[in-house]
Amino acid sequence: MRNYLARRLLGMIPTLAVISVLVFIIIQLPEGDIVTSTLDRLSATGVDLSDDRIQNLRAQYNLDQPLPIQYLGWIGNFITGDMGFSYLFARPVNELVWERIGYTLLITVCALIFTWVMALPIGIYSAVRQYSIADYSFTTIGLIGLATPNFLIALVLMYLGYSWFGLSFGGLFSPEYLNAPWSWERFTDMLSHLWIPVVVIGTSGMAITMRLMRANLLDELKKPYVTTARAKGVPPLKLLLKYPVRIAINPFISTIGLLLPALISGEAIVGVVLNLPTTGPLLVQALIAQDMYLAGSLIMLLSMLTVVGMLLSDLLLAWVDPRIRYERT
Amino acid sequence: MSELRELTPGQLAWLKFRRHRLAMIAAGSLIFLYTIAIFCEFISPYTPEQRNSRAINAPPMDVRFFDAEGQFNFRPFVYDLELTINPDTWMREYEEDASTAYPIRFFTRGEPYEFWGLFEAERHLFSVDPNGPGYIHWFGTDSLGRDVFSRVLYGARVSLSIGVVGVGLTLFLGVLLGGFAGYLGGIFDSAVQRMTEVLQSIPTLPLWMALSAALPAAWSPITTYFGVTIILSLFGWTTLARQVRGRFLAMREEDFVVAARLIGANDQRVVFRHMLPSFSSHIITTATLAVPAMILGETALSFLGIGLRAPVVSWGVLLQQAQNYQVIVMTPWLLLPGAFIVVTVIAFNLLGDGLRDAADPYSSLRQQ
Amino acid sequence: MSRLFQKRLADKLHPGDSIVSLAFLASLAIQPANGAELEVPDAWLKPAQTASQLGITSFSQSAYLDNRDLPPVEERLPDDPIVIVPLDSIGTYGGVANITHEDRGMFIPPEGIFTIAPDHKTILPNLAESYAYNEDGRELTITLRRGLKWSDSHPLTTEDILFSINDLQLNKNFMPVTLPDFIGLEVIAIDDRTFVFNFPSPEPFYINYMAQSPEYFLMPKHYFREFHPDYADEEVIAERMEELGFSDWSAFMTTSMQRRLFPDLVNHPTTSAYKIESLTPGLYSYERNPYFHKVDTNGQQLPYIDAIEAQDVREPEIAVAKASTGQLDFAGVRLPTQDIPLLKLGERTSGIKVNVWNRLHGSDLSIQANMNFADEQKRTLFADVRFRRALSMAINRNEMNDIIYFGRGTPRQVTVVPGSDYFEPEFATAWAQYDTDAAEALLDEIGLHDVDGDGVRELSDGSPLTLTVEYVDTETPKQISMELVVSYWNAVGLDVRQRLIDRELQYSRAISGELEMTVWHADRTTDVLFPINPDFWVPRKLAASLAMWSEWSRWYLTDGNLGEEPPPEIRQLQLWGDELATTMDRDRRIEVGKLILAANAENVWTIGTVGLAPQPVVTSNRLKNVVESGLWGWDIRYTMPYHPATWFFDQ
Repeated sequence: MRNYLARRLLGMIPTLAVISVLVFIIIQLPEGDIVTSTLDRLSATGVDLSDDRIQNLRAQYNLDQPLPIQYLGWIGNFITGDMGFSYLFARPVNELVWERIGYTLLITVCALIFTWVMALPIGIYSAVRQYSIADYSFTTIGLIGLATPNFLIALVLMYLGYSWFGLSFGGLFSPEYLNAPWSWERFTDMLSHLWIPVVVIGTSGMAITMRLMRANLLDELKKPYVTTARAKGVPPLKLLLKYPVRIAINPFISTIGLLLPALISGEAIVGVVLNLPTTGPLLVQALIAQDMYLAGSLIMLLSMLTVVGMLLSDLLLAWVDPRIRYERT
Repeated sequence: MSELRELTPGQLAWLKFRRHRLAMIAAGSLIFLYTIAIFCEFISPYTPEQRNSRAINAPPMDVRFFDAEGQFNFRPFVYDLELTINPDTWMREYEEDASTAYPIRFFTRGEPYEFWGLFEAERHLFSVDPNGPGYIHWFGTDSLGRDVFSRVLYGARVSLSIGVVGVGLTLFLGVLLGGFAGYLGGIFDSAVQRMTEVLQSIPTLPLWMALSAALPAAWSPITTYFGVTIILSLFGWTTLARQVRGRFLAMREEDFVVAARLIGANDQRVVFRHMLPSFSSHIITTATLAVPAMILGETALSFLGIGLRAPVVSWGVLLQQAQNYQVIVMTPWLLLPGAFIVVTVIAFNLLGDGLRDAADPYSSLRQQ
Repeated sequence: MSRLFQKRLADKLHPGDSIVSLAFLASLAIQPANGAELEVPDAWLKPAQTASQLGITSFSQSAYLDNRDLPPVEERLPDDPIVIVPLDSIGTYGGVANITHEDRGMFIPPEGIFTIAPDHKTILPNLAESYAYNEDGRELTITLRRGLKWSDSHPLTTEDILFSINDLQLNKNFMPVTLPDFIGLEVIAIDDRTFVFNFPSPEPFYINYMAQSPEYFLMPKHYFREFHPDYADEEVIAERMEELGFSDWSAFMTTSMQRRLFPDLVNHPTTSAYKIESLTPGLYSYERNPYFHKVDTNGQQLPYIDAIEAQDVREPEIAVAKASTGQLDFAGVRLPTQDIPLLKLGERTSGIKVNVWNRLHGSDLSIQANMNFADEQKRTLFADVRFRRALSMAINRNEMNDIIYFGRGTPRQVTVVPGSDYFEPEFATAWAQYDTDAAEALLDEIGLHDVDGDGVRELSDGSPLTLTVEYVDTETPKQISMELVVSYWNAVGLDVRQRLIDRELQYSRAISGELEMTVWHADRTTDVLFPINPDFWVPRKLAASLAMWSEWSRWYLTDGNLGEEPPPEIRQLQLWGDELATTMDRDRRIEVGKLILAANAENVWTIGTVGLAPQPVVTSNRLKNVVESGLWGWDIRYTMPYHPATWFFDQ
C-alpha cells in the first residue's frame, strides 16, 4: 500500500509540472496584459502613457523578461507558497484565495455528497426495479438536471428561493450575518443559502452517477453468484447490500476523480450567477481582466485540488480493491 | 419446421434498439429538431433580425380556430394586439383585439429570405400576409421586437450543428490518439496517458474562457463559430481516447489481430481495417453522448459573453440575452430556448443509451 | 441579404408608434429633462451659512456616539460649522443603510475643499471658508475653516494640502508623470489655514477641478507619512509593504490613489460623513464619522444615518433583484434603464420608491470612428465628414428612444446639457435627423457602391468594406443600442461587425489607437467639467473614452514629439480648448466654448444617439430627503449636490 502511495505521489509531480506549463501558455494567449490596463486606468485621469513609464512598470512586474523566465518566476514563487500579487484587486493572491477557498471546498464537497446521497439509492432502486415507472421517472429527472444549463437553474432557484422562502438574493449569507461571528444562527443561515448552489452543481453530476450505479449493479445482478444466493434463500436486502453493491461501488469511487473538474468548473459559473464568496467568480473576473498572477495561480490551485482529489479517490479504490494495488501502471 | 431467420449484426442491433422506447422517442425528436434546423428559413415566418416595432416584448400569441363568437374557422388565425403602455410600470401591455383577425396561410409567400445563403425564396411553411399590417408571434417577441420563434429555429441550426461538428473533431482526435496509444504502447502510450491526465485535471471552463478571449473580433461570425467549436472539442477527446486505448490494449492480443500481423499487414492497416470496426458501435455511442456536453458548453460560453455573440443566433446567445430577473418575472417566454436545450440534451442522452444497449453483444433480446 | 428587402424591413415602422409614445408622455407629469427646474432649497445654490450666522448655539449628536469616550460634540465640530438645510424635513438619528458596494461612492460622496451646487454650474466653498483669485487668474488664495479635523481627530491643516501636492502629486517617485492639472503648480502655506496656489497660466476653473476631484488635495499627512520614504525609515516601510502585500510603497500609494475615489483602507482618515469600520470579502461596513463638519438647522451633527452596510454584489442582475424586492435602501449605479418596469413593479409590493433621475450624459452612446486608425483606407474614410454625416443620418433615433428608453430620453448628438451656458439647440440636432435617402446619397457620393449586387457597399476601388466596432457594454445600454444602430447601417448597405470586449482591453487599445470603431458614453457635459475637460470635443487627452483621435491628442500632450500633427480645423479646436480653460473674460469664454461645440456639431466627430436618459434611483420608502429627480453622472459625483448626509430613515 505504501509503495502504491509513493508511486502515485511521485507520478503527480510531472503531471503538475505539465499542467503549470499549459496553464501559463493559455493565460498568455489573449493579447494585452494587466499592466497596460493598470496604466490605462491612470491615464483615464489624464496621465500620458510615455514609453519609459510603460517600460518601468513592466520591469517592475517582470513583464519585460522573456516568457520562460516569467514562467520560472511565477512557478518558483508558487511552489514556495507565494501566489503573487493581483493587480486587479491590488491585494496579494494568497489573501484573496485564502478568503475563498474554504467556501469553494465546502460547496464542492457538499455537492459531491449530495450527488452520492441522491444517486446511490436511486441508482440501486433503478437497477432492482428496472423498467418500472419509478426507474423511468428518476432517469428523466436526472436527465433534466443534466440538461438544463447551470446558470438557468441557479437563476430560477434563486428567484424561487426569494418568492417562496424570502431568502435574500445570492451569496452564502443574509446581509446581517455576512460579518457576524460564527453562531448557530449564522450556520443555519448559511445552510439556507447553501442548498441552491449545491443542488445546482450537484444535479448535473447526479444523472451520470445514477446511471453508472444502475448499469454496474445490473451487471453484477446478472452474475451467477447472485442467483445462487437468492436460491439459497438469503433475504433480498441483505443480499443486495452485502455483495453486488459493494462491488458496484468500486467504479463509483473512481467517479470522484471524474466529477471533481466538472464540479469545480460548474462552480465557476454558478458562483458568478449566485454571487458566492468562492474562487469561481474570482477566476472569471481574473480571466476577463487578464490578471495573470491571479488567473494562473487560481487555475493551478484548482488543478492541484483536482489531482489530489483524484489521488484520494484512487487511494480509496486501492484500499477497497486489492487488485488495483498490484496493477502495473 | 419454420425457417430460421438469419439476422446480420446490424439488423440485430436495430431490433434491440427498437425495443428501447425512450430511445426511439429520442431519435424521433432529434430527427425532428435537425429537420427544423435544416429548413429553418422555410419553417419560420420571419428572419431573426427582423424587428416589429409594434410588438416589443409581446407575449406568445394564441393561434385560434374558434373566434370570439364561437364560430369555427377552417383556417387558423390570430387576433391583432392592442398596445398600451402601463403608466405605473412603463411596460408594454397587449390585449387581443377581437375585431381584427389575421388569417394564417400555409406554403405561402412571406418575408423574403435566402435559403442557406444560396438562393432567394419567399415561401414559408406558414405566415400572415406580409404586405398587410398583421403579424404572428407564436413564441412572442423580445425587447427589440424580434420574433422568438424564428430566432429559436435559426438558433437551432447553430447550436445543433456545433454539437455534431465538434464531436466529429473530438472523435477523430480520440480515436487517433487512443488507438495508437493502445496499439503502439511504450513512450507514445505514456505520453498520451500523461496528456489525458493533465487535461482532465484542469477545470474546463477557465480553459475555454481563456481561449475564447483570444479569438480576434474581426473574424466573421462563421470563423468565430468554427473557432468556438474547435475550442470546445479540443479537450473532450480524453475520455474517448482512454476507452479506445483500453480496448486496443485488450484487442492487441486477440487472434485476429495477430493473424493479420502475421500475414504482413502494416500497423495502419491493422488498426483501421481490423480493430476499429469491431467496436465502431462503441465509438458511435460515446460520440452521441458527447454532443450534449458541446451544446451545454456553447451555452455556458455564450452566457458569459465569450462564446458566440450577436449577430450569430444560437440558443446560448438567446439565453444570454434573457438572463435577467425582469425576464423571469415579466417576459418569461424569452427563456424558451432553454426548454429546447433541455429537450435536445435529454434526447441525445437517451439515444446514446439506446445505442449502447443495442450494440452491446451481451445484452439479450429476451426480457429479463 | 438583398438591399431590396432590407429596405422593406426598415419600412416596418408604422405611424401608430409615435402616437402611442406621445399619448404615454402626456399621461404623466412632465419631468424636467436635465434637473435644471428641480426644486431645491435656495440655500443649496449659495455658499452654505454657518451656525453663528443662523444663530445656532447648541449642538447635538447621535446616540450612537454616546458612551464612546469621545470629546463633546462642540469640540469635535469645527469652530463654526456650516449648516445644511434638509430638503423636506429635519431628520432623526438612527438606522443602518443597506446598499451595494458599488453604490458606496454615491451614498458617501467625497467631502472636499469645494463642492458643487445643484445647478451643476456653481462651485461653492465647503471645507474652505473663503477663496479669491487675483486679477489674472494665476493666483488662488484659499482659507480653510477653523477647527477642521480628520475622522481620527487629527486636525486638518494646510500641512495636509502641502503634503498631498508637494510630496505626492509632484513627487517623481510616486508620479513619474505628473497629472496635467498639477504641472507647474506651486503651493505656499500662509498659515495653518490659508494657502496660495500659483499657476503657470490662468486657471479660472481650478476650483471646478478641486470640487470634482477633491481627494487629490486631501491625503492626510499624519497617516501617509509612515509610508513615505522622505519621512520614514526605508526598512520600516519595506516591512509595512510586505505586511500589506505590496511590492513597494509606490504601488501602495498608487493603489490608494486609484482607490482614491472610495478610500476603503480601514483606519484611513477621511473627511466624509462615514468612515470604514471593517472590510471583508462581501461586505464593507461603514460607521458615522464623529468629526464630520456639518450640522443641520437644529444644530444636529450630520449625518443622520448611523451606519452603512455595503454588500459586494458582483452581478448586476442580483443588484436589480435586490433593489426591486426592497432589500436595498438605496440603489442607483447598477440599475439599468431597461429594468425600470421590474423596479416599478416593486413599488407596489416591496416598499420602495423608484425615482427617475436623468443621466447627465449628453448621449448614452458616443460612437467613435478612429480617424487615426492604422489602415489607410479606413482612416481616409473616417476622416471624410460625409461618411460620418451619413452614418449619423442613417440612425433612427426616435425609434431607439421608444424601444430602449420608453420614449423618455432625448434624441440628440454628443453635446452639453441644455442647462449649460454653452448650449445651443442646433448643437443637439445637427445631422441627427433620420434621413436614409440623404445618407445613401452621401455614401454614393463618396464612392461606396454596391459593385457586386450583394446588397453591401464596397470601397471605391472595389475591395470589400467591413466596419468593426468593439466596445464595453457598461454604464449605458450600449449593446442593445448597437444592435439597432448596426441594423440601421445595414439598411443603407454597410457591413458592420460588432464585439463586446473587456474594459481593460478597451482602455489599452483606445489609447494606442488600435480600435477601429468603438462606443463610449459622453459625460463631462455640464459646466462643472466642460470648461476644463472638453475631452469629447477637443483632442487633448488619451483615454479609453476617446478613441477617435488618439494620435492628435498624443501630439498635443507631447508638444509635437509623438503622435501626428492634426489638420488645421482640429488644431484650432485645441487652441480654443486652451483659451476656454484660461481666459478670465467670461463672454469670450462662452464664445469660445460655443465655437468648439459648433465645430463638433457640424463635423460629427463623434455620433450621438439618445441622451439625458432615464436613470432609476431606488430608495426605500423609509428613506427621506432624497431628491425625486436629479441629474446622475460623474460630473457632479452623482449625488454630491444633493447632500446625502441629510438623508434619514423615518422610523
